[in-house]
Amino acid sequence: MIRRGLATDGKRVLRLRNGLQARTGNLRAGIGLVAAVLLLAVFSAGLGLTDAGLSDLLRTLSGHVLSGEQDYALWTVRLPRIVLGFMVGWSVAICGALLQSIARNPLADPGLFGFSQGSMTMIMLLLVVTPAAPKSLIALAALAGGLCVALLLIWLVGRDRSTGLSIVLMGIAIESVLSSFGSLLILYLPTETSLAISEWLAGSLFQASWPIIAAFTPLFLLSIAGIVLIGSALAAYDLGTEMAMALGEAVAVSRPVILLLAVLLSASAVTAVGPLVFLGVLAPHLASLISPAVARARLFLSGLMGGILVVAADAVARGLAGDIPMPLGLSLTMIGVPLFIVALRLQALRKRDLH
Amino acid sequence: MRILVLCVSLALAAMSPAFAADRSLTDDTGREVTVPEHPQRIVVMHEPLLGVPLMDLGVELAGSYGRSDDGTFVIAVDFIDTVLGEGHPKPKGIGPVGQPDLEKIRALEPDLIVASELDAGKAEQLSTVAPVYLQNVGSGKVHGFDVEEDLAALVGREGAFARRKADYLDRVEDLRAALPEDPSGKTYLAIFLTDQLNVVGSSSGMVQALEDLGYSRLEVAGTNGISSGGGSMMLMPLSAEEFGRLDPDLLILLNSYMAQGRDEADTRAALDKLVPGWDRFMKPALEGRVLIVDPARVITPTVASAEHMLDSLGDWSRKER
Amino acid sequence: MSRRSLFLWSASLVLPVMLCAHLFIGFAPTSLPELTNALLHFEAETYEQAVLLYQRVPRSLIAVYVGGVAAASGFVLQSLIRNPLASPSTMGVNSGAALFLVAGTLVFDLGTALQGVAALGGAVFGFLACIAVARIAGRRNDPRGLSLILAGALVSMLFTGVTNAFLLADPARRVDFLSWVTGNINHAYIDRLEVFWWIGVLSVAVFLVLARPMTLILLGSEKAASAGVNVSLVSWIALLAAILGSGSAVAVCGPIGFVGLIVPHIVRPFVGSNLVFALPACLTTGAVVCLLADLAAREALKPYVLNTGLVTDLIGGIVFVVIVKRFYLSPGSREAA
Repeated sequence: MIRRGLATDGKRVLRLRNGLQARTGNLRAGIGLVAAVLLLAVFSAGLGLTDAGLSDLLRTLSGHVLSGEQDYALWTVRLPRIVLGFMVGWSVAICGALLQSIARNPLADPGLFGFSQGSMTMIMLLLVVTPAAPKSLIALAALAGGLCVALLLIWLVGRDRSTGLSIVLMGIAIESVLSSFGSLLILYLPTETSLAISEWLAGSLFQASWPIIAAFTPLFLLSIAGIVLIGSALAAYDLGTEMAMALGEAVAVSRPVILLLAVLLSASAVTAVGPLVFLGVLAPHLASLISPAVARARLFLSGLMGGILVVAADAVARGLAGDIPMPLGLSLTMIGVPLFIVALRLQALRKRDLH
Repeated sequence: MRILVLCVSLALAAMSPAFAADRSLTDDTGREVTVPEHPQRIVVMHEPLLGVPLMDLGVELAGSYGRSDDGTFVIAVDFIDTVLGEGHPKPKGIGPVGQPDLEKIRALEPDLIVASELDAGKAEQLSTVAPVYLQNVGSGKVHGFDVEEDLAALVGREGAFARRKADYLDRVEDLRAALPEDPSGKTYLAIFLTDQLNVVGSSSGMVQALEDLGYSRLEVAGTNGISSGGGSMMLMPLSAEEFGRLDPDLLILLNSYMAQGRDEADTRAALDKLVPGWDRFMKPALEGRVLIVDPARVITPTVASAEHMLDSLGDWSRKER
Repeated sequence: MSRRSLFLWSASLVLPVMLCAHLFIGFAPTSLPELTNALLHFEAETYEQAVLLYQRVPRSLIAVYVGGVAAASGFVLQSLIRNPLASPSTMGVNSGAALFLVAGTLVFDLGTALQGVAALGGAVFGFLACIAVARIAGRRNDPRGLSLILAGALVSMLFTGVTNAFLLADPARRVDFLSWVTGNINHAYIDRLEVFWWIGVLSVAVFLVLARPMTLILLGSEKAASAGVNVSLVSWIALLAAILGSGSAVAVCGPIGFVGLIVPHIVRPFVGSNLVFALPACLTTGAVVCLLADLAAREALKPYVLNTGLVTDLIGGIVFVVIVKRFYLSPGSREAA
């Protein structure tokens, strides 16, 4: 039985039999975001050279056979990009939200901590040595790079009593050293290799295909499971490490686990699509603007927002840019930055209204 | 009557290209590819390194990466016009730089896609449209116009390549006879000028022409033993100070594509900015052993580029005398 | 002699020594007399002399300019923003300038002078973007100004990514810009220095004029106001001078990172925070550090050259770790959440 009620702060909630409760505000926001994703996906499926879209897809259900090129455009090119884009955006946004809880700072981002830099550096080294490495090896390299950075961070920062502040600062230091190493590679490799690496650094959904989606799906499901399990712990982290320990949170166990999950998500996103800068900060921030949430709800909403942003960026890159070169990272920036400015303004207005 | 019909149908079948056999090959990165015997519609993923060699063999390209929708090439220099001459039909574009568009590629109906080993990541997606053959183009892996030779074997134009090569070798011999001194045993150094000095790699028609004449590359080893170019992996720029002390028998200068011009005066000015006073102090400059070439003509790994290099060398040696 | 004057004296002695080292290391010792001769008369008759006059002297000039301006700007930023990690490279100033210059050149084909204008505009834009992003963190749990540094790092990463995307769109010109974008002290850029040098000199002059008021502001805004200092005007002018000075340094040779961050930390333990003395110390020490980095970049992998920007980034990153450990992870600072 689902029952309506009121939470301690007066906001409406829905209560389930087993004690789980969810704020109606968050639920409505979540449903709205899901609807937005679907609409965007439908619109994006219609963009591109070939004249094909959702209506053609629906007609196949009633037995109509698509022409070769329509079938190719929809099933081999567009739908994989949309699905993979959503999953990657979801992962990066959740990774950002996790890191923000641990670091207690709304500006934490996998790129800022050096995780995506670590993955990228490892992948670049691999591509320099063996340009034709198989995808699984690349994924392993990305994971190894991210884990190395995480371990380095933990070693540099020290005991588990250390604060989010120190982790973030060390992360920035590691990130700048690694990015200079990456610049070294780009600068001193032969032109074609350097160009190939730079193209990949700019982010690209070109390699989206159903096998890659199939490989990514277990991680996607793992992230959902992770949200459900870890979500409650994050609310405690938001209050600070000492407070979390006082509330009975096993910091020494759960913090490395959360970090590990964040590294996993970031490394797989980097492998699939390349580094997506700023998404880890932007998506949770925009999601909290739509509906301020904590813990699990925040993670879900951030993930949905991240997925929306990437699908929108892909739509822009594919359909609206035409002949102008617009890598995924650039279109994400172009969509994200105006939204960010709008979000800042709305936040400032809200703060003023509260006073 | 039936025998006549049989003979006619057999003759028709023999003439029909649709029944051409497919070959199974291993490309340069070790992938197994099934390639048509005589591909008719080829799309290339790198125009100067893969497209121009194919066109030099007489193959027409259906599409190439880096061409925009209105037919212009992504950089200001159009290699097809510069190397092969004007009037060749240009291939169609397949999307803006950095984002090949699979739907556009498929619309061209290719039966073969030729890419370089650096596109290995894209190969799987591209193979949903047509078989993908990855050709090595990196400087350490191929030399001179090996790329054109390999591609000739791929598309079944070995005969055309052999003829081109034979003509080219004749011209090499003619030039060698016409040169005042025998080039064998002499050294050369080719520098590409941007805002630094870059040593040119070994995969270009220019290098083939020089080495067939008998020149050998100058070894630029440092005190700590880093050999020229830093090995096949890295490509570091040369220090301007060290450069002024070098003394190759033939110094070749190529000005960057985006510079104001690629003719002699502009190239000299560009080098003067990087190594001020080079024409007063460098031995090759003082003894007239400097050759200035347009990089767009000679840098592709084709027989045509090698022939352009021979022309430049011939013109230059005649002027020097 | 007090520590402060000792440091100032030794810094002013080390600078000419470093300059000589930068100019002369790499030549055979026997040719030194003729090299000094060439330097004094400014004529080149042998190749060695030409290298000295036309390659090394311009390079030294650029290194001194960039090092001095970056260090002074860094010190001013750290004082005014009251954040020990502020500097042109960590607050998005350098990357903003680089982005605007590259975008302007690739899209609008700007000439050298207009490129400088674009770089200056980009520097200001980068700084403002950093402040705007830092706003979302608010100040409730941020006594150390951490959010500003985070925002700066984020904005830098973003701008660098966009610059990379721009460069990708034009593969031919990419080759021309690729080494500039990582910070390249190259004698070929002496013509850029000729166009932009006055901006840096002007901003340093502004610093020196405003040194005393700025020191008063450092002691406390109320105290400074009661002493007759127009706090907001002085702060804004000094900030603008710092940003524009760094922008001009970027316009000359690309973004050279970390010099502006580290040199103030070297200077402060000896000279203190009084800008009247600290600024000259920063100028000389910054020049020395930059000359040293450039010397290492030039000589380490002979006959190939490394970019100075890469050397400062690599070594600077490691020094950054040390600074963070000292300032933020020492036992006394661990209590603050």
